Amino acid sequence: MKNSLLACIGASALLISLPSHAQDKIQWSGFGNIAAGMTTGSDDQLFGYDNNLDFNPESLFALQAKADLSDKLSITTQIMSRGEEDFDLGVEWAYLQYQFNDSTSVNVGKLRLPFYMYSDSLDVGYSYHWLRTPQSVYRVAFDNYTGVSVQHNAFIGNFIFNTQVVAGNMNDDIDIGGAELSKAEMNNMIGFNTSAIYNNLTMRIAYYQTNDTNIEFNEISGLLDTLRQAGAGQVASELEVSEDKGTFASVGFMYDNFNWFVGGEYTNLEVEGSYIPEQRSSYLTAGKRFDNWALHATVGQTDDKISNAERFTVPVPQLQAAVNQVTTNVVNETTYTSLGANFNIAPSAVLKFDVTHSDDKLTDESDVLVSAAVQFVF
Amino acid sequence: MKKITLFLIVFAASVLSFSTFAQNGVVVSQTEINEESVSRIYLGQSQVLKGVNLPEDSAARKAFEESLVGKSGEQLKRHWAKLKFTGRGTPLNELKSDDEVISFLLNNPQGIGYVSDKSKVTDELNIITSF
Repeated sequence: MKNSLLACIGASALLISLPSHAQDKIQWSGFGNIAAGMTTGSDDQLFGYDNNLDFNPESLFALQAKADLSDKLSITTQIMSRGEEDFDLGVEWAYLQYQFNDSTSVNVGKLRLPFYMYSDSLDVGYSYHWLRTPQSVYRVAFDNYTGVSVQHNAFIGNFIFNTQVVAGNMNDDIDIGGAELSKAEMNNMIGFNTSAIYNNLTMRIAYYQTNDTNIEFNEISGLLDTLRQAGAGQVASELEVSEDKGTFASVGFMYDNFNWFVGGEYTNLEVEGSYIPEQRSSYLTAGKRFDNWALHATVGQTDDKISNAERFTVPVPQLQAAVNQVTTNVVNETTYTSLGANFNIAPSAVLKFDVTHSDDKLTDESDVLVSAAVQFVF
Repeated sequence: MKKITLFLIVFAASVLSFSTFAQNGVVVSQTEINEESVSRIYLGQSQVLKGVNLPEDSAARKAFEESLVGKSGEQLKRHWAKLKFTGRGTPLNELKSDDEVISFLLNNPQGIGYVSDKSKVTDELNIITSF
């Protein structure tokens, strides 16, 4: 938290220290999400909510300041306050942008990693039809990186191609769902995404990789020590997420005319030589718009697979049981079904209702979450 | 086969129905530019010219966006919110009236805009297309 406070002060100081002619031209804007939800069953838990009405898990406010330093150079920072972090302020984005020409620009700084179709505008609920993006697919726990991003637009026939190439590092404490935050570090990350837009149809592919993924899972650190002492160091290093190659690939599409829309995404994430399973995730969504409101439905599923389970073979049966427990614990096979209704309540604000049912095939648990949100931009 | 034919008829009808928006609106600029570039500029995909908008509640803006850009006002608002907060585009300026748009364009050779009333366009400006 100290870091983000410092970054926050730094970013504000940077804006304030700009020459006064630039200060006059600071463009302020922002967005917010006031969301509340509760699960219907007394033991149900989903997306950070439980059976008590809670406003914290998804509520957030953000303020963006952009200053043009010249025709081509600008600086932007986005400061956000999230309910799930006790509304502490943090810097989500802070970057310099240089516009080379009409088709190419480069951003340098703290940026959003564009894994998914909507991940760079993940927090701007107003920009998509869901109350929250489908959690079957939007499940990678980290979303910011420090580095470079090059954006390019091309027009070929009636197609518009938006391509983004990114390179950088990620270093953060991430919430993998355990009781404690895990320290994660990814170096030498490179990748790209391309969207082809043809009238109302957008098709997108993305691929990212890093040859140096490190995540310290506190849940397994004890087991790793035990394995090494028992002479099963090889299995320990197969489990551990250390200097491993990670790859992420995704395809997606969205068709949206005035009246109705349909879309979907499929993603595949692998961290070779670790106990993280191959994560295969997908969703399909469709909806219909009426005058001032819309109805939509989404189905999604996760279908994880342990790759090369024989890597985790230990000669000691008790240890094998412990190993099997950690490797199967992280496997996720859940289906999600959501129904949503949106009402445009002001020119830049939308009221959304959502009911999501999740069904975990492995634990045979099912949960229902009812939520409502007002999402706005200004 | 019947279903496909029916679908095509409904589809064609819904596409054609947009032409009923046709009014007296025109897109204007001092600079000559092709029609495809207009929607690219208003979708934030190109900055060859600096586009300006009329107010959100104006009928001319609605007609322009639906017939030339091919999106509803709501779709475009969400699209621009996404561009603005992800560093992919800066929202276009909004001017109050046809007269303000015309005077902006006369002072900005690299500007482009649209007006509801074709008769306000002066000789210095090119009419790029109408809607």
